[in-house]
Amino acid sequence: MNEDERLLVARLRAGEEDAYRELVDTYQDRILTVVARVAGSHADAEDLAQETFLKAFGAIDRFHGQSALYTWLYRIGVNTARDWVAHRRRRPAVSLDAFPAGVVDPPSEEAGPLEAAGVDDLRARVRDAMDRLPEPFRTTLILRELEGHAYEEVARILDVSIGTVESRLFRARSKLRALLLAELPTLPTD
Amino acid sequence: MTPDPRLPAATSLGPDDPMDDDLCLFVLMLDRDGRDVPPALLERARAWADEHPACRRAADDMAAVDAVLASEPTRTAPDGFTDRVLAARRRRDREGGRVLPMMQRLAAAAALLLAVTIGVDMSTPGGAAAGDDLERDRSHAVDLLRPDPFAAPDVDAALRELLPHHALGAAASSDDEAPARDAAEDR
Repeated sequence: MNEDERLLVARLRAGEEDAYRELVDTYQDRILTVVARVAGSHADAEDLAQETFLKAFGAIDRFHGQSALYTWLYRIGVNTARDWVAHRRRRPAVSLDAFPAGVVDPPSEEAGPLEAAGVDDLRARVRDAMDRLPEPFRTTLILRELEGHAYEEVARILDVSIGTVESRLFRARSKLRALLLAELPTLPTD
Repeated sequence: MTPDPRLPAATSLGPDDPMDDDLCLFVLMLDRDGRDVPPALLERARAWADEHPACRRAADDMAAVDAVLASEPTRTAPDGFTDRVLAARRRRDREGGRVLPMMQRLAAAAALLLAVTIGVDMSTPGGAAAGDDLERDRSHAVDLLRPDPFAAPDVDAALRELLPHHALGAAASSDDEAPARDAAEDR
């Protein structure tokens, strides 16, 4: 934690209104983005982001500076969004074992369905498939691919080992592909 | 190809690990993510993908999906978001300030009620009356003091009947005169 962060934390603990404002102004976009992605709901993202900051204000005395202030705040946001998903998931998550073996297509020289799908179509399908990935694989993939965190940072945020991050990412990507292939139309055969 | 959850950690991968579709995709994934992979193992994984088109397609599909995910737009907080959060914080502080004293008052009232209840119970002897049927059939010493079975006990009358007059203080008003009279009669 650098000196500026240390000073900000001290001011937050003292209850300075300007310190609260500074924290929200600095991190609102990033927190809003991550909670929207983890929750899979743009409509509820602002409420979740607000709740994240309120929790941080209330828990600032328990922040001991072992991580960066943003990492700590980020973790609160991820957990807040994950809790929301756990309580309000509208569509059932798909078990990682719910797909038949053989995700790899039969050998063929033709373009596969994912390549044949247009970019916009693929983006919409990817978003839908992400919503169906079970936790904790979904959040792990979001932190890595959408948020751009390194493996070490993902491990710190989720409080797991790097090996767990590697395994979860591989399983998440494999199953995401399987979900997409299950929904894309079969290529016509001559 | 069902992903094996027991994939080796990247740090434990060796150049001679037996190659298959799962391991090939795992190694290529790590390489794409900028992880340290033994060069010899990476070469073997790439060669395997080149020799197995289905595996190559799977790797390309995963990369395409990753690219889609990485290109998802970020959110921008709307105007006034900070003010909204700070107003919510002040509101929560006020509500917390009201709730805590009320809970303390409720707790104090409950404690006081409990203390009063215990005190009243301890100071009031409990009735030890038997049931009506037992009361009716069992004989009681007080029955000796009833002029008849259905009358209320008359303690004074009963005691006068049972004990000598001069032994009773209750007969003192007439007894006060009696010794003098008796004394007079004895003389």
